[in-house]
Amino acid sequence: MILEIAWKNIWRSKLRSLVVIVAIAIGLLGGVTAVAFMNGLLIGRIDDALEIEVSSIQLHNADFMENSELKYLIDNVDDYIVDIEKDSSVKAVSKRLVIETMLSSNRAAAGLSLIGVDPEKETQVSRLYEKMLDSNSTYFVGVKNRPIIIGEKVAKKLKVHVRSKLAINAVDVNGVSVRSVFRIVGIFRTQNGGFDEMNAFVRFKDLQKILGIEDGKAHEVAIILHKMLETETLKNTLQEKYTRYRVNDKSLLRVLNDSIPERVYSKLLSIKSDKEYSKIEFESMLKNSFSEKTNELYTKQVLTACETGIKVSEWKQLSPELAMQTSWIDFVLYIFVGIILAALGFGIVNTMLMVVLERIREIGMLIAIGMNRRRVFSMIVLESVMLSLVGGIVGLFLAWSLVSFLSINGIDMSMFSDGLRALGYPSMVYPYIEADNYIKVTLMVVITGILAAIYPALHAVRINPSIAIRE
Amino acid sequence: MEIIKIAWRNIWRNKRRTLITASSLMFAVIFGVSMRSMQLGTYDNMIDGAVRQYSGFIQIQDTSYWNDKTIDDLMPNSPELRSKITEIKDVNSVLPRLESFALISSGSKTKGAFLQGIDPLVDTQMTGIADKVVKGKFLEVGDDGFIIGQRLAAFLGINVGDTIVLISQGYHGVTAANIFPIKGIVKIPNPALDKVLLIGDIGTVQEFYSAEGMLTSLVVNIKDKNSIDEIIPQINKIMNDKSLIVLSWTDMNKELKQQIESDNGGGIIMLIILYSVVFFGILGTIIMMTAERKKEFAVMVALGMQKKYLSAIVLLETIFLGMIGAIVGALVSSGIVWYFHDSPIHITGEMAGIYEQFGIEPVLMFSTDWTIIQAQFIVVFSLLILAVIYPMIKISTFKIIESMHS
Amino acid sequence: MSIITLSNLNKIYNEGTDIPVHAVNNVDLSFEAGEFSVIKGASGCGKTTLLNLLGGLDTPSSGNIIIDGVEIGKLSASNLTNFRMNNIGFVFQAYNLIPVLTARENVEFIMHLQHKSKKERKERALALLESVGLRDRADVRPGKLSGGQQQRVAVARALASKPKFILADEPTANLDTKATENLLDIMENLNKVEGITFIFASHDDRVIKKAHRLIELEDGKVIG
Repeated sequence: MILEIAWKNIWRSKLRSLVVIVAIAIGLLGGVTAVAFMNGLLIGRIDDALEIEVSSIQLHNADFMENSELKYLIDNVDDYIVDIEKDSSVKAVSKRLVIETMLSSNRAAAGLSLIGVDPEKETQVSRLYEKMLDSNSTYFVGVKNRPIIIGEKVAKKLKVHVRSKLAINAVDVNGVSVRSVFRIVGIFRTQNGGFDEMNAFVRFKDLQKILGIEDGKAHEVAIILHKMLETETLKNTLQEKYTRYRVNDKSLLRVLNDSIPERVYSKLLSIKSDKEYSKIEFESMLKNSFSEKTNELYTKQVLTACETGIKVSEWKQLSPELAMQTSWIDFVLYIFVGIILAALGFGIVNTMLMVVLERIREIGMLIAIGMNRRRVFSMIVLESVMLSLVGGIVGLFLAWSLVSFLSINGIDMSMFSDGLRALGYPSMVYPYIEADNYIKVTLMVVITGILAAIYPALHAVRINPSIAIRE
Repeated sequence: MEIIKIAWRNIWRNKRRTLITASSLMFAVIFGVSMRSMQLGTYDNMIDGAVRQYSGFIQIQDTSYWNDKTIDDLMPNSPELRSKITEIKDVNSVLPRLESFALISSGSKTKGAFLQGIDPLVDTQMTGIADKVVKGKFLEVGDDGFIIGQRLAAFLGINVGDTIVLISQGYHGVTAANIFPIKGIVKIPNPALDKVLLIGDIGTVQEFYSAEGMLTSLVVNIKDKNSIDEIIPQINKIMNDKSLIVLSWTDMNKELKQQIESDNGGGIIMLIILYSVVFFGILGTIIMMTAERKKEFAVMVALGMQKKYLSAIVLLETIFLGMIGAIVGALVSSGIVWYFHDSPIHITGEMAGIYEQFGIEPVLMFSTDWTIIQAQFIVVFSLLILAVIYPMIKISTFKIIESMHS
Repeated sequence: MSIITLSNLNKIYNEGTDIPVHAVNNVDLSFEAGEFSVIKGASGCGKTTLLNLLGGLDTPSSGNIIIDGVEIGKLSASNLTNFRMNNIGFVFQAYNLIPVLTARENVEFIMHLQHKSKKERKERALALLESVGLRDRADVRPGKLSGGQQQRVAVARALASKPKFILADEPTANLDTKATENLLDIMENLNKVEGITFIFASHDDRVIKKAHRLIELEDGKVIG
């Protein structure tokens, strides 16, 4: 019955309740929609980032990552690939050669990464083949002599088009300068301008031949998982199997270059050796050599600096801003909505306080005839919660409608396209919110209603009936 | 003035309600100012990292240079132009630059590097590069050596005193090749630049490229980025040369500008939502107050007070109610902003790495631009005026007798 | 058998200040079951305070209040509230009813708090409304009832919990003559036929006239 009374009481002052409901509705509509937008932006980025740029996991020779030096290859790369493909979480694996080089046309030159891929395997891992600019461009279809595909930005800079020739200047595995001419078979354009500018693709075997690299070696292994983002398990497995750690001159130099404090460096210097540890051995060695606090702060960086053998990198490390943003987005939703609800809270407190003061005699009467404190308290809190819930439901419904509509039609962000493309974001954003986010927000609304009602309810409970009733 | 006294006392009749309403505004202002200050501070930080340390806010280039950026699209160095521009208000100095690519090798290692020819005296005024030297010395005017990025030096395995070979394509197709000593090592905050940057005296670099007396750009070092719009037209007037073009940082780094704009827009939208919510809170309070005092108003008008007078009192009450919260909020948030402005929060761990990747110092910067607070006040004031419409209408339309017997 | 006994009852307001008010001054009083009594006196004589003490709405400064063998001054706040619910009925001058509930729902309310069954509540509520002559207005909200009708519903509501007695503080103050008569007739009837005990605080002559017992209060003291 108290529920009934609380509900009916809300509508005693229609205008006042309406104001609160509209306020909550607007707040939630704005908050949820804004976050749905951010979510959509991020999802648009992730899909392409993983399926074209960094994949789920990449393998490299541990010394390769620093300066992309040609000589740091993965030996017996095909054995690794066979082993990795056995894992059930893996969707596809491909191998690549990567060198930094200058591409030149008659008119200009550009420095970028040249990547040798095996087109058949590569298309299972990367969706770049979907991003060809026009019907003239192909993704290595049809056998041509030394085909190359480049990004639109680079094509503009070099003033070339499909069928133009490009010269590649590089240094082979023996340190000898080599020059080779390739023909453009395709021009691509992804939503990430940076990626387009920095990468060109040729066939693995062509690049292998030019550089004089033996069979069974590659610079990079790219793995895409069925569940693209869930890379932790496989990463750990691969690291246990393939990665080793050591404290030698190279590692120490890396430690020096990162912002690792002097004392850690000197300690590491003192334990310098040629020994190669497994991950577990190395971690326990670190635990024994340094204090708990130092370990907490620097273990990760030291591990990274001391890696040798195969380095296993998740998309999170290859694209740290992405990792940061994915973990952030949920957090942002609740902060955003929380701030809005806090602001609303003030309004609700004021409203409920007014409600209690208005009905001071009525409440006094209720206490007089036998309604105990707990019930009086609950009645006020319930009223507040119901009021908030009505606003919450209206707001969430509106938000859901708006988001649903926008997720079909998308929001056009093309006026920011340059900036967005530089960071790899799409210009067309499809907002998105998960179902359980709505539930969590509703919960937050209820909690706000409860918290805001506490002060007024306490006031109601302390009413002295004899004073209240006296005229 | 009597009205002011009455209005002020009136809002304290219900202390609790006044305090709660004022608190909600205070909360909104504190949040608004803090968030905007952090946003604008971050933009300044980003711009600083990208612009001040590298391209500068305004550059003068040959018109064909920007699109192609080849060594053939140079402009002539003009000391006259330099001194004339330096005279413009808010211009600190004009820096000559000659920048291009070259292959650098030392021993067995070769890499593509980015050469930057500067005037050692003036360039560091803007970029502060002289302070970033970690080994050896900074350049002297006419220096025949180079300073090199720390990571590049590490890759090549060279130190101060070693020699490097530079090979490139010079002006009008002439081959550029020479050996140079390393005079110093610098730690450049942007890791990508740190891996490729080589800085030398402009005369030396010009000679290397067979481009004596030529520049890729003149960088205009200005005091305050907000005066760009005033300075550029003045430069254009002085220049009067169709082969040259003036670019602002927003032309040169459109991406950064758009990123800032979109984040800025996001922040503004957030505040719009917040203040809308607060507005309804205030409106609700005012509606309640108006309803409560129907009888009181009726009595006052019955006794002979002009409705206009009554409206004025209500208007003042609303403004006082709002301003208390806003002013306290402004004071508190100013304190917060100034505190963090003086001792900024240092970002550590993974986040720091990400900041550095983008060439930004990993600090949370707070902007002390007073227009932030000004904007909040304008918004609050507008909301109050909007809210006051309701009681004004009620006052002008109520009938005395009806209201007295509610 | 006394259902209420007051001994040495005192209530002082503003104790310890310059202007203490001795609202109830050394009162010894007892009430029997079936009484129809009126505490009368001029405004400010302390009758409302006395009634409040009787109803456990206020605590005495000194002295005892024993109701049905229970010394209510010793009860904790929540026990006191419970006690009131089960033993005492109230009819106030105004604000007796919950505005958002119908007449019947108002009467049912207290039985709801007492956890009575739905069927029992409904039946009894309608019966009570019948006894105050308002069964046909059972589903009407207080806002749509006249002042007199509201007070009658209040009586029905007060009876709902089967209290030992009903306290009525100036129940007729806001009513016109006809409504007053009506109300008092009903209350008298209930007293005669059902044996319900009524204790009034009033300075309304119409109420005083109907009293079977009159207790006169002046400056907190019983003078008659």
